[in-house]
Amino acid sequence: MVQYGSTGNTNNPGQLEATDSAYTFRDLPEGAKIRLTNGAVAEITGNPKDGAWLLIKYLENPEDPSQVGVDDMVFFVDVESLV
Amino acid sequence: MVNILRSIGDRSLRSMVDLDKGTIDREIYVNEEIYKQEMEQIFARCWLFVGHESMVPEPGDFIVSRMGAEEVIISRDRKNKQIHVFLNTCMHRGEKVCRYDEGNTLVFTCPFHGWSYDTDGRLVGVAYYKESYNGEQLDKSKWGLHEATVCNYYGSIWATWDKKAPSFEDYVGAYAPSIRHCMQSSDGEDNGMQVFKPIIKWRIPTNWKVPGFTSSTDPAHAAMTHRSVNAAAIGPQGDDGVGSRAPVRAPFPSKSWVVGNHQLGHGGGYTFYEQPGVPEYVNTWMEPGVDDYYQAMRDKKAEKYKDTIMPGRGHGGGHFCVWPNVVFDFWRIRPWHPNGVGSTESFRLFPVDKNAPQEVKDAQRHYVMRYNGPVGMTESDDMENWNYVYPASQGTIARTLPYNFESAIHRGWTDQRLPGFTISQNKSEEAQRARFSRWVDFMEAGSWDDLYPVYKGENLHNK
Repeated sequence: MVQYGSTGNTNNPGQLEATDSAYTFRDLPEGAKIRLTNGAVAEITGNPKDGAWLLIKYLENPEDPSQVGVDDMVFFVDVESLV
Repeated sequence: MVNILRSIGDRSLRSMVDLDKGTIDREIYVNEEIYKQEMEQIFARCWLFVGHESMVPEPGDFIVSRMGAEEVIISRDRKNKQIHVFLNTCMHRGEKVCRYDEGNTLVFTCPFHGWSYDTDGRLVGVAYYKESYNGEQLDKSKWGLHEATVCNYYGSIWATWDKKAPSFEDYVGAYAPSIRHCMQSSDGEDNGMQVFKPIIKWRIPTNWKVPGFTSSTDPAHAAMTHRSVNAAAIGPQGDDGVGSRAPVRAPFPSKSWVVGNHQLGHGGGYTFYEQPGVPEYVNTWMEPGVDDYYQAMRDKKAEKYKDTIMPGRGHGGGHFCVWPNVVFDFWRIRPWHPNGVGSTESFRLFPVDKNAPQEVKDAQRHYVMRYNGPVGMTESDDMENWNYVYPASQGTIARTLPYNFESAIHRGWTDQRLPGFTISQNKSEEAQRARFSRWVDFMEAGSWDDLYPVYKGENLHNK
C-alpha cells in the first residue's frame, strides 16, 4: 500500500515539493490527483519512477484554462501537494 | 565536412587495396587515422543492422544497440507503436539517457539535469523550465533526441544517419531477397521470426574488419580452425555418425558458390536451386519432438514451392555479409561493431520461428549457445584467430606486410539470377575482395553521389 508523504515532509504529509520526498514521488500511482505550485490541478497519467518526474493531464489550470485536458510532464519542484 | 584522408605517409589508400593482385595492406587494420575516417565515411553513412522488431514488441519497449562506435536506443513509441532509433545522448549535456540494455519505459530521463524524452524522442520535460527559460524561450520541439532514418525490413531493423542515403532496398541490391528469406519462419512465411533475449554482447581485442570482412564466407578456415570441434562432434544437432558437426544434407539439385558484389560490398555464400521444391528433411535433432516440428514446417514450405524454383538462398545456403559489418544466416545474425581501432563489440542474435512450441525454441537456444558467442565451442575457436591477428599485425615490421586474398582471384563469372555479383567457386575469397572494393570507394567518396548509382558496366573482377 502506498503511504503518501511517508518519507516526505513530516510536518505535512501531503506536501511534495521537498527533495526528501523522492521516495513518495517514485511511488505515486496513476490516477492520483496533485496540485501544482501555480494552482493547477492534474491527474497522474504515468510515473516513470525516477523520483523526479510525473506524466500528468491537466484538470484545472487557472493560469491557462486552455491547458485543461492537455498531457504534460511535471518536475517535482512544481508539485505542491496531493489533492 | 570530413577532410578525406587519401594517403598515409607516401602511400595512398587505394594502393593499400590491390584487388588485381589480391593483397591488402595491414595498415588499414591498425592505423588510428584510418579508423577515424571509417567512422565518418562508412559508419555515419551506411545502412546498419541494429536489431529485430521482436526485441521491442510492446509500446514503451526499448533495447540499446550500436551504430558504429556509438550507442543507440531502439524504441517502440507508446503512442503510435512505431520503431525509432535514437543516439543515446542527451541533447543538453550529452549524458546517456538510457543506462539499461533493455526494458520498458514511459520516458528516457537524463540523470544529469533531468531533461526527459518521450519514447518517440520528443523532449517533453525540462527541469525548471518556467524559471530558466521563461516557459517559452527554449523551443522543446527542436531539442528532441537525435534520430536515425529507420527501415523495418521484414522484421530486421536497419538505420542510417545519412538523410541522403539510398533506399535500403537499393543499398542491398540483389541481396534484398536473401535478407527477407532469413526473416521467414521455416515454413516460408514472412516476418516469421523472433530473436532470443537477451542477446549476447562481448568485446574482443581486434579490429572490426578482422571478423567483419573475413569471416563471410571463408570455407578454408572452417577446415582448419574448427577441425577439433568437428572431431568432437558437439552438434549443432548431435553426432551425425561420421564425426562431423555439420548436419546431414539431403541431396537436392542445387549449386552453392561464394559470391561478392564489388559495387555494393555485400557477399558470402549463395545457393542457386535447379528444380522446383525444397530439399528433403533429414532428422538431426537430439531433443524429442524437434524434428517433428521442422518436418511439418518443411512440408508446408514444400507445398508452396512444389511448382516453383525457389529463389537463391531461399532455403539457407551459407552465411553472407551485408556491407559493412553484419553477417546473416537463417539461424544467427552477427554484427561486429567498431569500438576503437583495436577493439570490437560483437553482438549475437539468434532468430527462431516465433510460433514454434517452447521445446523447439529451447532446443534451438541450447544449440546456438553451445555453438556461438564467447563460450560457444565454435566461436571460441574463431576468437583464437581474431584476437591474435591484431597484435601480430600491428608491429613496426608486421604492419608493412600485406595480407593475401588471392584465393580464386580472376576466376569469377556472372549469373543473371544474381545481378551485380561476381560468382566464384566454393573455396574462394571473392566475398572478402568485394568488401575491400567497396571499402576504398567509401573511404574516398565525397558524398553518396560518388557511390550511387553503382557502376553498371562490365565487372572487371570477372574473368
